[in-house]
Amino acid sequence: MDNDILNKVWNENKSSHTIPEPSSIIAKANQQRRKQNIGLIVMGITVLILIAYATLYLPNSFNSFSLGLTLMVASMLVRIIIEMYSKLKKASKLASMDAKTYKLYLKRYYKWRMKINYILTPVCFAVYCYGLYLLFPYFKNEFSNGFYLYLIASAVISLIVVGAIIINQIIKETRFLKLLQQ
Amino acid sequence: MIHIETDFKEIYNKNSDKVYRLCIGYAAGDEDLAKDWHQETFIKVWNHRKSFKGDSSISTWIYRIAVNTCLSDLRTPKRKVTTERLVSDQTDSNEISEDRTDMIQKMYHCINQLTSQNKTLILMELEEIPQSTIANTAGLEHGTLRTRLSRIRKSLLKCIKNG
Repeated sequence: MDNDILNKVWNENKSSHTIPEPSSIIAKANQQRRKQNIGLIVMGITVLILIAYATLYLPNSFNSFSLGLTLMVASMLVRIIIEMYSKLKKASKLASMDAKTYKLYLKRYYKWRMKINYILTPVCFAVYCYGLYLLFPYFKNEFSNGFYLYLIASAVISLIVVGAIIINQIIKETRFLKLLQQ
Repeated sequence: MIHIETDFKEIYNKNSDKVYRLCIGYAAGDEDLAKDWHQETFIKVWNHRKSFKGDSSISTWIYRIAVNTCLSDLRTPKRKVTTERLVSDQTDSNEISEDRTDMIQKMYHCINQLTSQNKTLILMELEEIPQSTIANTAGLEHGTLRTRLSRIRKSLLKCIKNG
């Protein structure tokens, strides 16, 4: 009898929500897929250009400017590739596992993410900062003093904002892992 | 292509409502979050349609995707259910209607206190989804599921009564 109360209360909760048309879901899914493919193509082309630049140009005129640029681009690429790989890895499991197995998988996945967050991400961030630092002497020689100061200020602010976004994401993932382990 | 789209529309119309209610239960009444999860679920159904092998019914497969989508989202519910969107029995007085709204809010609150697996089980049970489908979605034996459901119902009732 008590059990019926639960069903009764639940069934009274018929909200007047509007559900999107199935055609709009298909359109959205196709749009997401297109964007993903464009992202991969752009990334592939960027990597190819960088490899070509590194093999053709760098051996003849390698200096701290090209080193700085290489470090910045490489650390960013590593981070983007890892993020994309993580997302695709998680998405592929979602449709094939029951809830219990998927939860176990998520625990393993977020433990692995913790290693990325606490080891690889700080290394990438530090390498990026060092690469940027190597560019500043060249900026000082090439640009006016005012513009040079502007570049320093904007670089520091951008790094703080990016750092805050990364820290926020790490906090969210750590909290989520704790929730999964309860 | 047209045939696939027609099949998807049929599947969508058949399961959409239950998936939405499953999501809103998971989202503790947060309608915006529930709408996002509902949409994400069917986008994934469309994207992974070729990987469906027919080992279970299509509904079981969709519920799995819905539950896993809700389970894996890092966002947490923000808003409580809004009273004006609840449909109340028109013959009842306002007082009874308010009591019901209060009961539903309590129910969302109590469901939200459960573990993610127990949340899945009770929400599917409340949607009157067959227990074999629930067991298959959650990855539990049928006997275990029955015992677990009975315990969850008792604790839920206790929580609702005690506020």
